[in-house]
Amino acid sequence: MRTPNRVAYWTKTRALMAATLMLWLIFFSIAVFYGTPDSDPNAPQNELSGFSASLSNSYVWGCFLFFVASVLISWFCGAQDRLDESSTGSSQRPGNTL
Amino acid sequence: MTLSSLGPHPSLYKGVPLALSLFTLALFLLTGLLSVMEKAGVVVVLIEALMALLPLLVFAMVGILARTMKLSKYHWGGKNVPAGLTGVTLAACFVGGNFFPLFLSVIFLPEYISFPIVLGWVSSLVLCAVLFASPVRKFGSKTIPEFLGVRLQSNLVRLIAGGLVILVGIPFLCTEILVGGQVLATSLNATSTTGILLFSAVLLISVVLGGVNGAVWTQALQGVLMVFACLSPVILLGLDQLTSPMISESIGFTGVVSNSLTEQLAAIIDIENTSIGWFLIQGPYAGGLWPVIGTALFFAIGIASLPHLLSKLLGTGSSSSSRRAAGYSLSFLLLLMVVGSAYFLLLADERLQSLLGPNALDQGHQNGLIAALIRSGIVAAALAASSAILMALSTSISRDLIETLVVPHASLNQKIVLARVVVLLICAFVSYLAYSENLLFLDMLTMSLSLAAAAFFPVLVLSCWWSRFHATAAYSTMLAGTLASLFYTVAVASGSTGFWFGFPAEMGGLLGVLLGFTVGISFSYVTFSKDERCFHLASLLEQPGERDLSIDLVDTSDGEEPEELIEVKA
Repeated sequence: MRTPNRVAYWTKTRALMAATLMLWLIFFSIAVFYGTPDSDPNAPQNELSGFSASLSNSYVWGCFLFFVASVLISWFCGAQDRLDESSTGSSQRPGNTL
Repeated sequence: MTLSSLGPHPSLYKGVPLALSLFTLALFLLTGLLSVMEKAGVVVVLIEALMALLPLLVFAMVGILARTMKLSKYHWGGKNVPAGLTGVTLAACFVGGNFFPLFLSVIFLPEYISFPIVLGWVSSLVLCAVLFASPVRKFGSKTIPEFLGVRLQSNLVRLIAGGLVILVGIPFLCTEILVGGQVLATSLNATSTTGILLFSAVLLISVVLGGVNGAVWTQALQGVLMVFACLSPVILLGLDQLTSPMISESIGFTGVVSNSLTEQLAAIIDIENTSIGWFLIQGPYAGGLWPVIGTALFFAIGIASLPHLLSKLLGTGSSSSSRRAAGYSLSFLLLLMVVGSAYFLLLADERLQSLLGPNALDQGHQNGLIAALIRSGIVAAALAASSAILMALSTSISRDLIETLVVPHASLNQKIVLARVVVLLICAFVSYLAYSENLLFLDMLTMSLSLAAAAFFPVLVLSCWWSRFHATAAYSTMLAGTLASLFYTVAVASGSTGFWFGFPAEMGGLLGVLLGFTVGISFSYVTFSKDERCFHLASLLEQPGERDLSIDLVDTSDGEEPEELIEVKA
């Protein structure tokens, strides 16, 4: 069964996926860039020496990425669901033609 | 918003919130009781054994209570698991016994060595949610091989994918059983053989009778126990603050974090002696950005294509609720990660140590209530992951391999007996493997992640997002990727080739993924047959979510099997 909105739905879905993946890749690279250890492997770790000093450490960046990724995913899920509903809002459930 | 919970059939999982809160309350009471006992001077061995065994007893009981004789509940949990519950169980399986110690000690391993692993590990859930969660659910299949078989209309694809699930799943299950068994043995002061046997027994009891239904219930409880274990220092400190407020100046972090637990966790992980540690620290590109990016990508792709995690997304009510489930599990992980990373800092609090009596955190000894709690958290995580893998393996073997090849016309009762026998056999076989092999588990984990990435990632991405993809291209992709990564492993291990991109032998999966995409895309442009059925089916992906194919939820155990809307028309 070919619905009138099918093409629009598929295009929007793929665009949404591509946009989300792109955003995610940006955050991923930021986290990798700032989260990597310093080049000096023997530098002592100092976990609690002030927030600004520890900002570059992996834990903070990991949490930040987590937070951003959660927001991103909620946005994606919400957008996808709205897409589903607006495309099929008024249509009756058609019989399966497969 | 689709109200997946308002379906025509009542959900099987109505009682879950109540059960979870009761379990939390019971854990709270148990911890309080044990800490009183510890303060009163009861032997530490008894406290540790109680803390380790009582949750296991609960899991076994829940597994027995969730027993079922309905095939639909046994194989896919009734197909109407609520999104929130799926999120919690997915997160619990996602953490597993392998990663729980890893992110607990993330800031204490030298050179932040676990950072890229944790980063890739989280990112895999993002990939899973964006790329796979919704399209995989749309066909109403029960396993990943079945999804591929239906999407591409080929039984051969289904069989090959089923075989690859076994290849990927068995080493992974071995590592989980190994970790869980050894940690359990430490808690009980027993040999590791006893630990592994006890662990396998609990695992078997919790899934053999209830199947996925039992697994979902126990995994939810295990998720709660994991969060509780991470939160236990906060809870104990809070209790102390309530009962006897002290002047806040005396509260402070000691400079030295108690080494005993950290060392113990580091010994479980032993990351520096694994191939990943080698890649990050001593490999040809060590010190630069490439090992970090490579490791993170490897884990992101490898974990996102693990069949047992993806098959959790197949049990939800609709494709939009499986997307939502992935979002929920990310939030649950956020909680676990933030609390878990602060764990050791909280442990260093002097008040906590005085609160728990002399044995709480002795230097050099790993005993006391707190240590026992975190160990039972690890055991719970390992149990959750291994029950998910065990069910994915047995469903795959009994449905995709045996029922397709050997007994295509079995009755429902025969099918459920078959499924149980397969669970028993796999559990026995893997416990034997875990018992007899003495490997570094992270290497084995890396190997199975590498195989999973090479075998499933390209084929899943292409079949979910590209309608031109067809069956011939699919099995060429899977076989090329898997063989390439196996071949790379053998070649590097035997010294006949150098390290491509600096990858150690176990991490050849990324090369397999590249090769898989190349093969899949190029074969898709070649039409081998005039068969248009899979093009027709691919158009299903392009329809909005309301038209999911799903199996009728009415289970007629004594009658015919509910008719499926799509069958492979071979």
